[in-house]
Amino acid sequence: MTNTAYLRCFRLMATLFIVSLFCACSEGAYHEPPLIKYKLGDNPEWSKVDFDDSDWTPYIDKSENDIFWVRTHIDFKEDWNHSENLGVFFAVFGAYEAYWDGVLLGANGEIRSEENKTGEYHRFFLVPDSLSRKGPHIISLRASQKYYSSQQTLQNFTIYNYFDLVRRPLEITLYINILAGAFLITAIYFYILYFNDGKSFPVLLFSISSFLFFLLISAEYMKFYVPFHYSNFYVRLEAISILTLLISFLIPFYFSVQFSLIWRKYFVPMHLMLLLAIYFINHDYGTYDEMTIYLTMSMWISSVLIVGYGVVKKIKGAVGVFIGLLVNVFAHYWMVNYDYSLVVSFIILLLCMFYILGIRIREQRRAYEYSLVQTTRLKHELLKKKIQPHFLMNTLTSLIDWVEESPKKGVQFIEALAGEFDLLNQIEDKQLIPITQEIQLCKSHLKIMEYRKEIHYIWEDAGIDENEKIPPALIHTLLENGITHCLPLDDSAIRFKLTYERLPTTKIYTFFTYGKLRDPSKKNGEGTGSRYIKARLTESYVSEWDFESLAIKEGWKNVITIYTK
Amino acid sequence: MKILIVEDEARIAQRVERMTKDFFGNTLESLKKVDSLKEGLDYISKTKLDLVLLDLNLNGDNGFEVLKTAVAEPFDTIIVSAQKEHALGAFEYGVLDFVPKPFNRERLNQSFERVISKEKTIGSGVRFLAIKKRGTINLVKVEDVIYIKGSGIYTELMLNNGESELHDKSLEKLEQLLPENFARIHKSYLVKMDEATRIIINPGSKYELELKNGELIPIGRTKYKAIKEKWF
Repeated sequence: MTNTAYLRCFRLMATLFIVSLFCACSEGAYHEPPLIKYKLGDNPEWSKVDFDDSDWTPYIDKSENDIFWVRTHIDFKEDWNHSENLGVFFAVFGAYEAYWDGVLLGANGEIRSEENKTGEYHRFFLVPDSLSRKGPHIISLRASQKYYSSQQTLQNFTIYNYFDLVRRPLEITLYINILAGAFLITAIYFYILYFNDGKSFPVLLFSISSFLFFLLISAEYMKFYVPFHYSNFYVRLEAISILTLLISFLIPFYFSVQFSLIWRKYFVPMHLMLLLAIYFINHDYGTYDEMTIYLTMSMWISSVLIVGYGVVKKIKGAVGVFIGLLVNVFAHYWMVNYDYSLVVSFIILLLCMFYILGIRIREQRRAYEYSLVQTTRLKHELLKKKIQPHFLMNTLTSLIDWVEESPKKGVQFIEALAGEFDLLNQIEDKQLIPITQEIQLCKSHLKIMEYRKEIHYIWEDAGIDENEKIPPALIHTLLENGITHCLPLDDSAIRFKLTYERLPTTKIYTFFTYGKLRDPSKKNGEGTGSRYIKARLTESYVSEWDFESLAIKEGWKNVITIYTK
Repeated sequence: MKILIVEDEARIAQRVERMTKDFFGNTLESLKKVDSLKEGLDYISKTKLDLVLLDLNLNGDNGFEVLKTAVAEPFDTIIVSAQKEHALGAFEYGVLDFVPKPFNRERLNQSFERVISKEKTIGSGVRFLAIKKRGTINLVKVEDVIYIKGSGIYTELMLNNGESELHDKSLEKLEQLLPENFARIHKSYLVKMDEATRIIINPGSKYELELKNGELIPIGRTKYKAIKEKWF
């Protein structure tokens, strides 16, 4: 959205729009810049063509109870084509009777008794054919202005084919309303999506932006078909200003979220403060045009900065949006009609937002699908611990040997094995299990390994909070690693120790293996074990965890930190 | 018999040890147990061995690395492993047998019989012969070998690109490992019979086998009849 496009769209006068249309499409119509003159008082003669108004002034001091007249001279270079009816359109602050060459065209309300607010701000009048000949004409208004009496009374008027005057705005409104409807449906769709699909913040922002676009377009074009009294003129203008303010804030905010702007914490409040300053300063001065210029300008510059950041950081979709923002400028300069350029700008902007949202939704969908696969894979891996040939066949071989050598021990071995299988069965499809169950699993595993390895394993734990839960087989995996990579110390035993610490913002599990490292030169790389642990931690704590695994003098140390905020 | 057991499971190592002792009895000269790859490789490099019993998964290390080294050596290798899926691969590298866990005495004895009897390896699936060269192990594809010439305790592999490589295994051991299409036509020659074109009979009952590349390989007097019957 460019500043000037916005400026033009927020022109206060509906008539400007029509005038601009005429500029583009009509020849021969009257459009010399008219000089509008005022005089306090009331005299029927003042409507006449030949009345001398040379002492009238462009401005007068009028109070809310005054009656005054407005006059303006126009000159037809040739006769008006009588196959078309001449019409005149007024945008007036006040209640008035309108005269054309001294002939009453009509009134918009009752002069002086304006309490009922019956007069419309916009009004069309038909001009008699006999008064549309070549030569000078005079338009005069007998008026009172109870509300906003310091404001210019005759704000604008247009003289043209009567039916076109009436019909053109409605035609435009037709297309604009189709677009407004599209914005509304988009807003509703994404609002529902937001509530039903994971409460994604950008989706909500997009929905709100679409809804604000809908309101803004509706507020802007409502003037064409909803009659309103001039005293309500500023209500609509105020609504448009606030909508512009909100949109100017939301769009860069949306981009800053989508492009993960690192300075968002500072950027967004600063931008908001700037917008509020623009809003309040211009509000005080009543300079609504300037307000719109500056609001939209800062919106556009902020958006370009943020998207530019995205381009530099090579964030997916940034280039597309950046091009969209530039196209916006060119679209504005190439469009003849300002209000169309506004709508086109909105559509381009919304498409930019939609484009980036689409990319993000697709990424999220993929991440979600990946996480589903990951969860299945983890379950699978846990299951495999039980039936993995290396574990199972070695255990069975040892078992056969024990049975052959010492049936009694063999039976104890089978019982230990049954115990571990039973525990694994209980936890296999859980995402989190009680820490006590995990410890039990470790102990039962040690019992089995004692039969297999004929090494004395000692389990110790300290500070365990029995109410805590952790992902299944985390410690078990560390224990397996310890058994695999460590040799017994001199007392022919390997000692394992699990400790738990609860700090204000963290939970720390430390697992020690006290033994001799088989191969101290071996780095603790990305083994299947540590991959499993990391995947499990990510599954349950997203990125709020840390896992550290390192050799120490006494053996091996693993630290799992879970951040609780 | 000098035997090495590489096994990280104490109980299983004991079981293999016990059964090995029972089988070989007095013929056993030495028996060593180690529980890691590193120790195993050290021991192999320092000691002359006849047989290595090897587990493929040792404390999380992949035993295939040892396997490559082992098969380049003159001794026989028997894999005792839980990972049956690796059996085919192991045979391709030229192991004598693959004993899947859990095993019993009969199964292990069957393997030991094969060591003694020199009967052909089941499957005969060896696809590579491992060659030690300047400290690294190179694998020669069996399909590239035309014939093998015995030279003392070593053998010389003649390849189809005209080059030759020295191998540490004896002609007898290779004969046991290599597929059926390799025939012992002379006490010093093992020939891939797909390469043979005809037998040339020279005066004085001297027989020679002509190969596709024109080379002539002598045929042992005692082998001639069997060769002619089986292959021509």
